[in-house]
Amino acid sequence: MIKVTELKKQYKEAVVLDVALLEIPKSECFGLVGNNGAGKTTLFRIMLDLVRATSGKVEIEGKDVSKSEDWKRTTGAYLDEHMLLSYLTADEYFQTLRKIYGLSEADLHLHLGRFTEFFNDEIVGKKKYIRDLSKGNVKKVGIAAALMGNPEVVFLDEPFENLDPSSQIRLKKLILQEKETSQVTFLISSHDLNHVTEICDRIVLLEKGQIINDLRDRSAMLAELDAYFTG
Amino acid sequence: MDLNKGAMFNYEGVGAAQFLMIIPMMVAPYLVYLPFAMIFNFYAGLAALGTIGVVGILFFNQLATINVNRVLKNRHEISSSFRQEL
Repeated sequence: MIKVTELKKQYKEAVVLDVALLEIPKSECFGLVGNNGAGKTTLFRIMLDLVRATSGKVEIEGKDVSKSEDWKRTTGAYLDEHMLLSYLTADEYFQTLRKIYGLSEADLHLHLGRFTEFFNDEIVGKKKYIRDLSKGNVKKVGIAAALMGNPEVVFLDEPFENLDPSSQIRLKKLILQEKETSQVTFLISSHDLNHVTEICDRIVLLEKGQIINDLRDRSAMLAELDAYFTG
Repeated sequence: MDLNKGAMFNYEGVGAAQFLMIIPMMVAPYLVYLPFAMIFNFYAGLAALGTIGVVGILFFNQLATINVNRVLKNRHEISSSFRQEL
């Protein structure tokens, strides 16, 4: 359960985010949509305590994210490439994470095994630094890293961006599978309305930092979003 | 900075600051050693230096906590410079 209350982010005069109340129950797939500058990434960053909120708070399982550290063990996230260690190869990076999470070699092997199809033989066992990978492959490394260590909550910012169509479909399958088997709560921001409506149970529409629509009806989602974005 | 460059004779990021940092590292042990060596003898100076080392090892956890707390306190600044916003 994630709870956001009276959250506000202000840069001098400009209010970039103003969320009165947002509750995300466990194992929900939560979609966040909105045009550029609507505050999607800022909201995710504040929820992950990467940016200081001007006022208000975010709680994960009843714990204020800015005042405790425990939630970090059960939360995975991939927002941008700066969250990776780009001077390592993908293999070295996964090994580093394995040690941090205290997993065994077999655990890691099992984890990466689920991504075999998604990685398409371009990530594991290659002697290429993450910074030299293509944008899509960097994203794949980040997503696999975010899902490591059996997280309960996973934040993904624009996960479909830069991926080829078959990888997009594989990623959708992966997310649905994770949700089914491990009850993971997913928070996904995306511009791709088709994908996000397909996997998410609920979609929140953000405009200028405010929640202007909270859609829960799967059948009407796409039509309503289409109507909003075509103006 | 070009990370793909080799490490040999690569002086990127090496400035006056790196050499200035050597000074306290070389001078600090003498600051501990010299007073004891002058007042008592050579061995007292070495013992003083050794004691400080042992105290450092014994209180390693407490000393590490100071740095951990400093990182946690500055986490927002650190993450923003990681994103290269500054």
